[in-house]
Amino acid sequence: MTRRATGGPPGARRVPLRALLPVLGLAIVMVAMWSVTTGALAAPLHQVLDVLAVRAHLSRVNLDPIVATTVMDIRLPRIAMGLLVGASLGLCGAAMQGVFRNPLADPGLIGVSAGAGLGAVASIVLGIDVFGRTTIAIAAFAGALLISSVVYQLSRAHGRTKVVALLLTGIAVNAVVTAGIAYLIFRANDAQLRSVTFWQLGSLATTKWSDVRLVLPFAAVGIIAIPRFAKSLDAMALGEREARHVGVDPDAVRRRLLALCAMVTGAAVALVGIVAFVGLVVPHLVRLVAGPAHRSVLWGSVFGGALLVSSADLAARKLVAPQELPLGVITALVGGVFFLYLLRRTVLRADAT
Amino acid sequence: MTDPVLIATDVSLTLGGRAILDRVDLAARPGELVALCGPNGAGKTTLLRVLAGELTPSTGSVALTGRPLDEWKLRDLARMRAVLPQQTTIEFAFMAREVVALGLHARVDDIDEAHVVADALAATESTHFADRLYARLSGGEAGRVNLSRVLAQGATVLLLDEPTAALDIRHQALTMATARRLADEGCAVIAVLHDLNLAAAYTDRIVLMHAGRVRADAPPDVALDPDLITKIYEHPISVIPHPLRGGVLVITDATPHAESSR
Repeated sequence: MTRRATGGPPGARRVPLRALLPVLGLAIVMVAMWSVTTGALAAPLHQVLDVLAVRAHLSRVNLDPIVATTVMDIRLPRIAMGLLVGASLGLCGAAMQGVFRNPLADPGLIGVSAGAGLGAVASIVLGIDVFGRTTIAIAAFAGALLISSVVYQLSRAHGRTKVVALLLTGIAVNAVVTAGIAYLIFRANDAQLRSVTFWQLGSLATTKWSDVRLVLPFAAVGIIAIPRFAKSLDAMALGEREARHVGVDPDAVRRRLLALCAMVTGAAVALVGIVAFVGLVVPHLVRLVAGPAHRSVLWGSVFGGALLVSSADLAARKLVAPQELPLGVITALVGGVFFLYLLRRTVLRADAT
Repeated sequence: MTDPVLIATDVSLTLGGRAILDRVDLAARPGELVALCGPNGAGKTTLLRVLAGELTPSTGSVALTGRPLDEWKLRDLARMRAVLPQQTTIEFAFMAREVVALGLHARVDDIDEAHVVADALAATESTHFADRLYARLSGGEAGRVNLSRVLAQGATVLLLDEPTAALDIRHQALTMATARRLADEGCAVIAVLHDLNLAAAYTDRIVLMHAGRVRADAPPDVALDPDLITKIYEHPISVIPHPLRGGVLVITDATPHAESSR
């Protein structure tokens, strides 16, 4: 028999979801509270609560208008967006790893990130702005959907999709798309280059409520729909044949999850740019703590992703204040280093056995 | 005699111009334990996969309870029949117990899941490593866990591909006794077996395959004709009455005779 496992505790210590989610939830609330109060303008918690109370028509105290604007129009939408993007990326990473039976998978593999990048860069460099400020986002979203469906269609044969074919097609299409992005960058002028670079680094700095409203429906659909596939993904962990034997059609599950994840991650990266490594690292961490059952991994990754991105954004704001680091830099740095640690551990353990 | 629950009629399968299965007929009735035997490359596993609905035959058809397999929904099929593949690779660090529970996926009957899993683990003597990681189990232990998973599925038609491979003598016997008990309880069980003596000791019928064809389909003492099996295995084999019980005992010679290999 050949068996393999990556990650996961050696024994059977597993934190149940009913313990994990409240802890993550509490951590998210604490990070959000810290994030909303701190910054160039200190807004103590009681002032924040006053602002919220007045806006909810529960109170009529006099507000400091600068504090009110800072909290309501700058910090809160930014925090909300961080939570939505993190939840989306974490959830889709977990779903992709389940679909590909591969703990190294993430939505980037099926061309979502490259497609979004192509769309965004094309709209910047070709100067397309028919939809005003949201043009980049719309172009990125369209690119994400287009390229991921190209990857999916090219990897199909006889109505079925082989996982290996899908992964290799993803790599090839990613290369072609990256070439396209590079060509556009080559043609760009200095101002455009700056926009492109900024988008590629990922940031929540300019988030407005209108952006949150654009992402919210996609994130909501993902969070409602994707965890329903938990049991099917568990069965698929047994393998394609075995999944069919126990009554799961892996092709149907794959098709639906790929479409959902292309939409959900496409919407997330479209508005904030590339936030690297969240979808890869978060499901890993959750699996280490809560075990590999997908009900735990999917829900844990929703909360864990939200926590990671909101924490990383807080760090992005604080580390070099009064300047701001791009969010993608923090997530890639933390995620990449952590991932190396995980890989080394797995490699060392594999040698030992 | 009860009607067959699983019937393969005139099944042929050609892959890359080569006939893997050549006009195979096979039927399994409730209460029957059938062994599929034959040398490597005879088509046993391919036939099992056709019976499982994994492969569509080039010609001929397979019907489960009278309905062609391609008219079944996967979910309904999973409630009716379970399949044990030769080996199962599992990504992610599932515990043995959790792997067994994956067999419950299609079940809708009112069951106590923990109880069903515990029973299935006990049936293969796997309880004491139920909480270990599947990836850390030995080949034989992993095989037993997978058999438990198949048992937990609660199906009445069981297709087992070399269920005794990698098992020690005690657990080969335990596995065959479990298959026998399931058949006695009314299941139809088809198992690919390499050990002709296990087949002779436990099964009702042996289907001997060679080069994609069924060469014998009979009770063990009839199917295990020494001339026939010597010929299809290309190795001298003797069959004698079992000294301790009824039935037959198959004895293979240590070295193949050059002149009998053709």
